[in-house]
Amino acid sequence: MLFFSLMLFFFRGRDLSAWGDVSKVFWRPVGVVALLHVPVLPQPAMAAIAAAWKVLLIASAVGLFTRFATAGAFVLGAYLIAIPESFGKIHHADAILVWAMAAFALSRSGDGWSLDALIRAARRPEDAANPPAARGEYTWPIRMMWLVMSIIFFNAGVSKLRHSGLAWVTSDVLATYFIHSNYGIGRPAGPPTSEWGLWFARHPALFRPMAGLSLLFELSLPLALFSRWARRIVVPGVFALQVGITLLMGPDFLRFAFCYLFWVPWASVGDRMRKAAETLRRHHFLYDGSCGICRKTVAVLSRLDLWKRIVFHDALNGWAEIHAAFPGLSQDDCLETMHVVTASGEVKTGFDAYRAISWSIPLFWPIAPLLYVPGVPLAGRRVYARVARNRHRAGCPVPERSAAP
Amino acid sequence: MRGRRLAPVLILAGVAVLWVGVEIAAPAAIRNLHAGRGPVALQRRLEGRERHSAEHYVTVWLGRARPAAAVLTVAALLAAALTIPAARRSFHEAVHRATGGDSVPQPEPPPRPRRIAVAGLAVLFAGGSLVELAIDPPYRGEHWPFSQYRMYSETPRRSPLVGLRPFGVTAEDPPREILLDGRYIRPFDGSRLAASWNRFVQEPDRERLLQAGLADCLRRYELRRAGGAFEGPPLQAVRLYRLTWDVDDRASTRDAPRRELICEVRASNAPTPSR
Repeated sequence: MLFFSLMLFFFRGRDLSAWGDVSKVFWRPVGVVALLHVPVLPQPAMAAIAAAWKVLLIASAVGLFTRFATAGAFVLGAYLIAIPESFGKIHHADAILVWAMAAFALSRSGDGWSLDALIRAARRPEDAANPPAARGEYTWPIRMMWLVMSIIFFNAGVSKLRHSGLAWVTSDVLATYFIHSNYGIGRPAGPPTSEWGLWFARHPALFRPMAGLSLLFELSLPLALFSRWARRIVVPGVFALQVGITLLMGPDFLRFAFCYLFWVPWASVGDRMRKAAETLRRHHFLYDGSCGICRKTVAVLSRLDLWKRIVFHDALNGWAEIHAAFPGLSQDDCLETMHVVTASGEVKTGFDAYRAISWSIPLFWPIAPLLYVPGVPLAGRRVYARVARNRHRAGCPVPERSAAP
Repeated sequence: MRGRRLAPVLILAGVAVLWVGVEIAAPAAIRNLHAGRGPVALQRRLEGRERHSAEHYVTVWLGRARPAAAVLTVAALLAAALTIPAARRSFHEAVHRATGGDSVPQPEPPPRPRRIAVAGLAVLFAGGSLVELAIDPPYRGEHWPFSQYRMYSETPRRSPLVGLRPFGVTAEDPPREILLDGRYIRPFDGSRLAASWNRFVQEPDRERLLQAGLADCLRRYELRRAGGAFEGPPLQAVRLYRLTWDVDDRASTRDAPRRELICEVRASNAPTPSR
């Protein structure tokens, strides 16, 4: 979700179709483009492909038809990214995006947080209680991107040793690059974001250790494949290296920056957030377990409740437990209208119940304030009442009450 | 079981064949081609045959092929070692320990077809990248999407700094020269265009290429200007200059390069760009 959102952000204003209109004198196919005789299509066709690609990126980002969308995004994206590489110069930060899209195209990334998962949960509420377990199925794309980044940096380090030897560290190589970068149009990659490079270039005691550290981090990134300690030290090191290059020399590595997301231990981050949320009090959500609409709603909400701040109770089959916890509630009322007992002990029903839990689900935060706009509560209560009135007609059986204690 | 025993033998045999090919067969073939024996199409691959000896080509071949063969050999030996069950078990245990051992629950692996696809993708990337590293093609001549990532790896000469840059000559009185950067001639950015100029000036038909390239820049500028992409005056000509800077440590000469006109295309007689 995050990766494809960032891809969309990066390519949002870029007109990739314009390459279809560039003179052929600049065309010099490289690598796989030359091997497969990939043609540059006319601009209208390129524009159609670029538009389709962006639609597929949106679908991949929200996880709609994820398998198809990620595979399509890879095929079209690989074409659109490959074509410019054959117009004069290869941008070394582009290929990594193609490899990442290839990994997602082969993965089941839509099983987690995606519209597909919500739709599945709504269709089969009984499965929603069992979200996908941790499986190699879901971890290999991350390992694949670790491998890709490790080899890229390793190759860059070996290339430096091969072409300059240790002189890359011990001589003024880095200082010369700093100075050249500050010659504005003298360096075609674009000017650096600061002139600090000129200052560093005058201090061998600073730029030589910087060169040594850069080389060390590049060569040692493969260790991060096997060692957690290396991941904690070397990955931030190469990230700092690329930030430094942007600051002091010009080229930006925004596309690489997307790929650092793969090094973030998301499972641990999620666990920590959930543990932190456990200290917060929870809402209790009471619903009619015999109602199909209610069960679908619960299935979707439970997938969206990332911090597990909502406890769901079936008011039909689990009434004894509910009654023990909240003796003031009536089973008839709870089966008639959805109830939420908020963390502060207030009882909310219908639209107000939804409004109360909207603050507990991050995805609802953007719309939660809108639910307080004058007029919205009135309309919301009416819509809720109408749906509740008609829900039995929509296929929900009339509940048979369990014996209330 | 027999297949498992056979696999390392086949891999080692493949390595032996590889080295025989690199060290004996290919040099012999190169000498034959240089002497005018063998397929004409392959003889043509030896550019400048009349100027260089056969040993020159053999040396170039060995310089490229030996590192590539070395990388492949290491990979093959690793693969051969991993066909031995005990070695494979040790490797798995080492990886298991390194990745957290029993303290981390090991996830269930994906189904076999996807495992094969994933392994294929990983081997394709790793193999392609390592071969690229071994053969070390010229900078900007890599086999995209593989690369040895050679940027900033060479020892650059501090001064002078030389670059080819296009300038537009405005149709004003008096005319001005403006640098045609990415803002004016998208989708090009400075770096892609600079690489193309560097190539054009080394080609035998450089004049035609430069004229056509500059005409495309002029057309692109006027198209974008007419489309409202930027506000600017019309151009009467586009010029390509070789800019030379005498570099100093404080970059104080950055705005004062020496300029040498390489090519000019006037709007009135610009060649039609080929698309």
